Amino acid sequence: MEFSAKKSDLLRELNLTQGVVERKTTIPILSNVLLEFEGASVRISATDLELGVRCGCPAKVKKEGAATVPAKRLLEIVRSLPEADIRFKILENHWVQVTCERSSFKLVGMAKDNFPVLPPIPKALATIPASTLIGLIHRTIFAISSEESRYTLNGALLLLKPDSISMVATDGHRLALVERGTPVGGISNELRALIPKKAMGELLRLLPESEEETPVQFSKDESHLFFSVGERVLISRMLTGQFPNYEAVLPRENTRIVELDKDRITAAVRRVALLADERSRAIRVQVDKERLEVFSSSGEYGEAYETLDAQYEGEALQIGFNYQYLLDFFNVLGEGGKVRLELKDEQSAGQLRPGDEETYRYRYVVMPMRI
Amino acid sequence: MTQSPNRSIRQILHVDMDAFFVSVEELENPSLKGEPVIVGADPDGRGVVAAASYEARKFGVHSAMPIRTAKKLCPHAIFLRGHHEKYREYSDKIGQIFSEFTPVVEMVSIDEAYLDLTGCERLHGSPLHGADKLIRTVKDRTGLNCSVGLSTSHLVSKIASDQAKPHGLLFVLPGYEAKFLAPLPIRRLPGIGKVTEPELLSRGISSIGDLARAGPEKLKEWFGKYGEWLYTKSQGLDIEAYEYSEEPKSISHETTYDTDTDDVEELERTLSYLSQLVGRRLRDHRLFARTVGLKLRYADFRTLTRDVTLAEPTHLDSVIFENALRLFEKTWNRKQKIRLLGVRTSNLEKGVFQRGLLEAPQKEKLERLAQTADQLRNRFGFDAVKLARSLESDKKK
Repeated sequence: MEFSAKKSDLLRELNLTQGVVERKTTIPILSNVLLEFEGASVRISATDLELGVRCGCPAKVKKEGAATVPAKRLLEIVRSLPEADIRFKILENHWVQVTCERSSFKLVGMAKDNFPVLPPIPKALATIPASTLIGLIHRTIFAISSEESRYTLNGALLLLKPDSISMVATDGHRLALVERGTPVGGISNELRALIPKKAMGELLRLLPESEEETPVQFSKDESHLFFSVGERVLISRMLTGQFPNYEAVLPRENTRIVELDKDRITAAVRRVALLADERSRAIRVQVDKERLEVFSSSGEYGEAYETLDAQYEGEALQIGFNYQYLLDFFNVLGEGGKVRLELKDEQSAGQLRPGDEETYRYRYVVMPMRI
Repeated sequence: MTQSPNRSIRQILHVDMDAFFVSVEELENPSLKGEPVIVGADPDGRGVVAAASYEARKFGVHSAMPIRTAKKLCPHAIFLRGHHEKYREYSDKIGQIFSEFTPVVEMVSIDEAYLDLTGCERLHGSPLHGADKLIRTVKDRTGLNCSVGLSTSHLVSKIASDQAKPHGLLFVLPGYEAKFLAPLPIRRLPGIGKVTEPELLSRGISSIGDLARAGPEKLKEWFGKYGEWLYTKSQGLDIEAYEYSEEPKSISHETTYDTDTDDVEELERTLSYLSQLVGRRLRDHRLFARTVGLKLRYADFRTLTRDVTLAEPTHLDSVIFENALRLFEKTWNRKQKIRLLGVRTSNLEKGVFQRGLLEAPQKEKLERLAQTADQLRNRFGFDAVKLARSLESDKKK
């Protein structure tokens, strides 16, 4: 059983699998990738039982077969080889020989029958443009909780409607909600799915960042979510449980609106954060006529202050925020542009929005700190 | 609420309505005037007297007395069950008048309040004039009589208004507080009860003046910190001034049952009530507690304490109660009767902390509730507002 494939193709595809290869060795076969070669291609699969990735590339198959080899070693070997065809040959006892030009390796493999069977992909429920999915993930992933005790917050909620896609994530202190109006193929009602944070990260790796619209087929069975683009599939265990009723916490009466230059406020917050209390990360933000001031003080190091021009006409208000929460949002927005800060009072959630983004309706809700 | 005494001479007025319930009944039904009237429970039942007219008091009837005793003492009295909504209405009216005199009004119960007239001279002239005007205004606008004590402290004013009854005004001049108190028996001091009184009497202290003469060192030797308080009180000074001067490290309240109990409802009611007392004090101090603790003492004096650390510090009665209750359910063995329960909050912080988003709508309601409750309590006393869990069920009554 034997096949060969181009180094560049193999390297690209093997890279895609690295995120889901199990690093712990409790179940040794999970550290391997499964190579299945038939027809004119090789399929590469990896799983850590939470996530599964399947991808592949064209191959010259001399004799059909399958093998599993240590994922990390294989990647390192392929990376080190010259730009040429790489030949794989299955030897006795699950050993696999890898040769390329004058180099030759013999890798210890494991029986392919021990590799977990990835669930079959059900019929697609919806078609989502890849670029939109990437846009949604970028704008929400940072707000997902990494506290394991808040299980249902360890992912984002994907909401598919016939004419829009939204994604919501929260860690209980802040919430990112993004929506894009776009026709969603296959959806006649509303479809909700909780996507684990790690799956979102893997999707960013897997989805092509091309300008043209690559469709992503979305489907699910009782316990898994499936995202497929061409030959590539990401399979994720579904997060069970109820995502919080996020609509109830969206601010409705935030009438104190400040418009700011995004880069200036980002730089100011970064500077003032240098002397913020390290544990609480609290800074104070004061809005007043035509200006916004940012303060910090740490018992240990001292105080920082910066003032910025702002479009604001309302009453003065002082409010505390975790600076990291603000920076997380500013960083997603990219260079330039404006940002709107919408406040109600010092104890209610503040809302941030990009000043001029139109393709995505994006809002970020941050609970203030008590200062 | 309590200003530092040396900033200016404080002028604290204690107003106590005269036979409030009975007087309201008389206003509503003038034919009762001059008659011995007793408001309270069913005269053949096991309840107590809530209020008695001065005519009834001549026969030895007083409030809190078993109503059957009252009937024996004064069988010809007119017994009324009372109209509590009416009393509340009048109490509102009086509270309104008080708040026209000074912004600092502390209603301690339905018919009793402290008014801080410090700095109100321009409004009312001398405090004595102010007090006199207040008594007249209350009479003119409600038809009710009240008695007023005026001095530099809550303590002395409270005792003075009692001395002034009925329909009187007693002004204790600044500097004469201790002299005024000296001849009075020690039991007139709030905080001296059935435990301390005999102890003091056995040491030859029967009047407040005796306490003052004993001096702070000796009292401290006898009673520790409590002894210092006693001395302070004997001087006619408010204890609060001392209490509030220092930031507390923990805030707790506890209660010992008259008889040991294993009645779950009663125990939960106690926890709820204690949680409210604790929450109120946290809010007064503008503090937030990160730790809520429970103290439980069994009938055999075995005492357990347990505590829990919260994700977000709180000053809310309901959050304190929830946690105290959870600790209680985990701690109590359900076999032994309980002698004492306590709720304690510690790890107090002025509070720089991240507020929670998902709990926010609920929390906001609770915050508003606490604020409103505190305002009501400022005017009508602590018991004007309670969490439902701390109310006795009708069945229990």
